[in-house]
Formats: sequence, structure tokens, C-alpha cells
Amino acid sequence: MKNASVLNRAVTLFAFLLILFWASSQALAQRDEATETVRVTVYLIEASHGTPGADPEIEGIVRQLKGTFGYSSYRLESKIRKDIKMGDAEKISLPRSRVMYVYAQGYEGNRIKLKVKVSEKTGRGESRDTLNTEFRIVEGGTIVIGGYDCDAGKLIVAISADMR
Amino acid sequence: MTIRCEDVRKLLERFYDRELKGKQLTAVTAHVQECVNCSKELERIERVGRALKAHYEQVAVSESLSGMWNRVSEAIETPAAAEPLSFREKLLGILRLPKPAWAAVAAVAVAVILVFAYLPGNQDSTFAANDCIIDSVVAENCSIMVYETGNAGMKVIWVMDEGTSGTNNNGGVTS
Repeated sequence: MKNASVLNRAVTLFAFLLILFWASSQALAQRDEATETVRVTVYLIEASHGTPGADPEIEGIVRQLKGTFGYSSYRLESKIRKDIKMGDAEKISLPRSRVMYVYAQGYEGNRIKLKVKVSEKTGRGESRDTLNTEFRIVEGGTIVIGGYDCDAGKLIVAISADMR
Repeated sequence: MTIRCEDVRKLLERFYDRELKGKQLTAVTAHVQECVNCSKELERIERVGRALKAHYEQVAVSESLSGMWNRVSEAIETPAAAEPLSFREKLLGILRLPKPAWAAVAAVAVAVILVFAYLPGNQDSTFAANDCIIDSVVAENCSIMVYETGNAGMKVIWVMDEGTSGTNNNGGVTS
């Protein structure tokens, strides 16, 4: 009789813990977008056929790229971190007078919605958009935009995003 | 030892119950044998005693004792059945688990949470490390290619920069 009572209470407590876990996960999934900030980390990498190697900080990204690209050298030019409020944008300067704008557009289905626009200056002092892309990326995920010329090879821009 | 009738009357019930000892017992016994009134009073007490004894024996025999323990046990286990417990009392009752039960509940809860958190099917098609859905890509005055590369399926948007047209501007793609 006593054992049955303990079992009943244990089952009740277990159910309570499960409900608590479910409720907290639901609450996390429905975070209020308006109050959120996206932390975007941008790695500017120069890929070339120079001396083989990669900066330790970008080894994870380079490991992914090496299966597709034939570059031997991956050099981290700079690492830029921006906190962007939802609905806002941040400007990041790229080599050769190019500018990249990163827009934080929302957070839905556990993904961060970003828009990236790359502009470059024309010969007449004006700027034109060369790339416009919108994507949804998981927190901590990385997307790569590359192919622009830079000093000794190609520019690879790796963009990671996290919620703050 | 001489004793008066009124003193004997006070002692007769105890005499009948065999509670008297020593001189009192000797004196009352002798007095009852000699005194007619006290002897009759003793007989009356004896009749009442026998009647009561017979009655209780009859009740005890007719009363079944077989279910008594069950009823007593039930009463012990549910002492407050008539008085509903308050929410606070119920909550405290739940939390008042033995330590091994707490440990077992916690262990099972952690296991279930871990399974739910990391089971691939429960992760909203979640989430290869670089899982990314590209909704749109628009390029002007240049061509683009979209790759998925590496074990983590990292998306790559590769721009064929016109500034280097005619050169190997696809990044030396190997596959």
C-alpha cells in the first residue's frame, strides 16, 4: 500500500516535470521577436592558392569548404561582430570598396531570418547592388558568400548568427 | 474482625470481583455466611453479573471478527478520507518522497528530456550545424552558384565576379 502511494506520487511528480519542460520549451520557441537582438559574426577570409594553411579560428569553416573548393590557403582577414536589433541593419565594409548590409528580419521556427545585400561602387561614384539574398539560418549556423576578387585570391565571407 | 452491614454492602461488588484480600476478604466472607440480608444482596450481584456475562458472550460469538483487521487497516490508511486535503497538503504530500524515489524520478526526467532534445526526429528537422534555407538570391551583372558543402551541409553562395571574367573565377571548384 505504501509502495503504491510512493509510486503514485513519483508518477505525479514526473508528469509535473515533463509539463514544466514542455512549457518552458514552448516559451523559448515563441520568444518575442521585437525584443530580440541577433548577434552576427562575420569572418572575412581570403582564399588563395598560396602557402597551404588556415587560421585556427576558421578551421571549422575551412574544413567544410575544402571538400568543394581547391584553394590551399585560407587567411582570416578580419572578424567582425555586430549586434543587430530585429528590423535593423548593419553595414560591413568589404575589400575593394564593396559594402555588405546585414538585415535582421525575424526569428521563426527556431531560425534567424537574415537579408544580406552586397553593393559596390561603380566608376561614376554611384553604387549598385550585386547581390541580394534572404535566408533563414539556425542559431549558431554559418552561411558563406564568396567569389569576390581581393588582393591575392577570392574573398569568402562567412556569416554566423545567434540570438542574444 | 467484626464488620457492619453497611460496610459490607460497599465491599460486596469488589468481593464478587475477587478483588478483596487479607482481613477484608476474611471479614466479608464470614459476614455474608451469617447475615441473611447481605447474603441476598450478594446473590443479587451474582445474578446481575451472570446475566451481563451471558449477554456479552452472546454478542462476542455473533460478531464476526474476520473482517475486523481489514476495517481497522482501512481506517489507518485513509484517516482523512472524510476531510479532503487542501492543495498545499497534496503538494507537500507529492514532494514528500523518499530520497531514492526522488533520484529515480529525476533520472527518468533527465533521460526523457535528453531524448526529446537530441533525438533527430524531434528537432524540427533540426538542425544540422549549418542548416540554412535560402529563400531568394538575386544577382545583378554577375552570375552566381549555390553550393552545399561539407558534412554539415553549409550553404555557399558563390559570385562569379565580372571583374575577373575569363579567369578561373569559380573558386577552383573541385566537385
